[in-house]
Amino acid sequence: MKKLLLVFVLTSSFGFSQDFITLNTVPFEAEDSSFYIKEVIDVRDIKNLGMHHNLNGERVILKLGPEAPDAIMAFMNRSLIQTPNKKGIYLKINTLNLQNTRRNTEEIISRATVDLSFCEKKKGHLKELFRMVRNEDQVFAASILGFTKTIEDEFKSHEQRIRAALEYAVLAFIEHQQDSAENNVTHFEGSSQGEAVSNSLNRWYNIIEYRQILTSTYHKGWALGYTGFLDNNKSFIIPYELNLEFYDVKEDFARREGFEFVDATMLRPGIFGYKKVFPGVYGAVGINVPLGFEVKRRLDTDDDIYKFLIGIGASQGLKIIPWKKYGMVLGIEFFQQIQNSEIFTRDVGLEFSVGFNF
Amino acid sequence: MNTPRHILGFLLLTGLSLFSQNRLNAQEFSKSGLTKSWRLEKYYEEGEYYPPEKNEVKDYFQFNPDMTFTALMEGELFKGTWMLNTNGAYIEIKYSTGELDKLRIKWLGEHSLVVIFDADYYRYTEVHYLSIKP
Repeated sequence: MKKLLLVFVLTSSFGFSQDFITLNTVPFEAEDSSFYIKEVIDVRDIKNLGMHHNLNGERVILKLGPEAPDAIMAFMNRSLIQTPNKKGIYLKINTLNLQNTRRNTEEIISRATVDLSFCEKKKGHLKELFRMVRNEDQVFAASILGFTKTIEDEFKSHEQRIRAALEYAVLAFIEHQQDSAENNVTHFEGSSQGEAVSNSLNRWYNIIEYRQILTSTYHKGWALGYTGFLDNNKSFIIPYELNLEFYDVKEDFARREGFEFVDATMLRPGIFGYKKVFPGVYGAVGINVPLGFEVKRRLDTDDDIYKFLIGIGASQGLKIIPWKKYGMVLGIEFFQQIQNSEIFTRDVGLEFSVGFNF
Repeated sequence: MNTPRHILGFLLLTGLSLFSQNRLNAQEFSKSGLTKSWRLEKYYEEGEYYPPEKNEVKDYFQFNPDMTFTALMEGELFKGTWMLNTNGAYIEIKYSTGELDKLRIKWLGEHSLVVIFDADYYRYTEVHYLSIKP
């Protein structure tokens, strides 16, 4: 019984279910092509389209149905009609997959990548005539506050992006063949053989963090924050940040100034910038506008005094994201701020943060 | 009043409208349907139509059968090549500078063309063109 349970646990955690995508092929204009597709050969290492959320929000392995060679053969046969005077071309699938990621707080991007080699057979060996890598990208409006795992329009159009990428590659090959014969206008650019093209979309990070002030001149406290950003290896990253901060002015200092307590709740909108130093390590700088309310009570009275707080702040720090997909996030930050509080107007300190990304 | 005839008429009408809706969803595009001159008519965004700006009133697209195009955008003349991706339902234009634009086709009729420029800030605006009679 225990063994059975173990097997069940293992299969349920490793055995993802599969979903199939069917191509709703539309014939395209390739009447002047001098070839047809004789055979489709799938040379991909991983023979699926990748892991994605299906319409029920479950994470599944997406595959073409029927299997990729048959599905692509059927796609090609609709437009590249076989006649005796046409040349038989062997098509190698080097890459065929789907990706998607958030690109900002309002949009997601979905990509179908196709990398095809058009080959002829000479003395029993395949000789590559032309290679085309095509990314079909499409952007969808999807606010981050929607919280849905699948955007229906995006999921349903996966098959169209695959079709579009396949068609694009074939049209490019047709032009390539005509181009070598006569001098026509050229539109497409083929991909040179063996060229390392990065087709991966940058990853979007969602981070929820707890921040704790380690040391500061006048106040102590903590904050909860959300950070969302699109990773980039080279350029400056502008993340979206939202922090809700709770702090008390240090008691001895408050008493010295004649108060029983001074508390504050703040929001901290601002502009931040990250720069990747090493994989997983980001330098972070920011300027922000602390906005919030201060509640204080003078010694020997029972009345709370409320005050609207506004100021300006700056921060410099490091953020460490050791695991890309899910996991712990660590950070450390120096901060400086000026605000209109009567108790203290300037403060500097050091803050530590711990959180998780998903 | 002939009730059965009315019912028949009603059924025919619904059938026709269902059929035309079906056609609308699976519209197929052809190169020959595009090789015309199209003048900018209006924009459509968030439920409202907008006329072209002052510097855009003469804007047009001309797709030639030899796969070249000329276009006037914001009064500026552009040239280059174009291709139609039937399965992707888009036109890709390549300017003589080498830059690319993707025009997603929302509708292609005998006299009208509706596209969306697939680029940031333009992605949620439909651009309506009318064919110019030769």
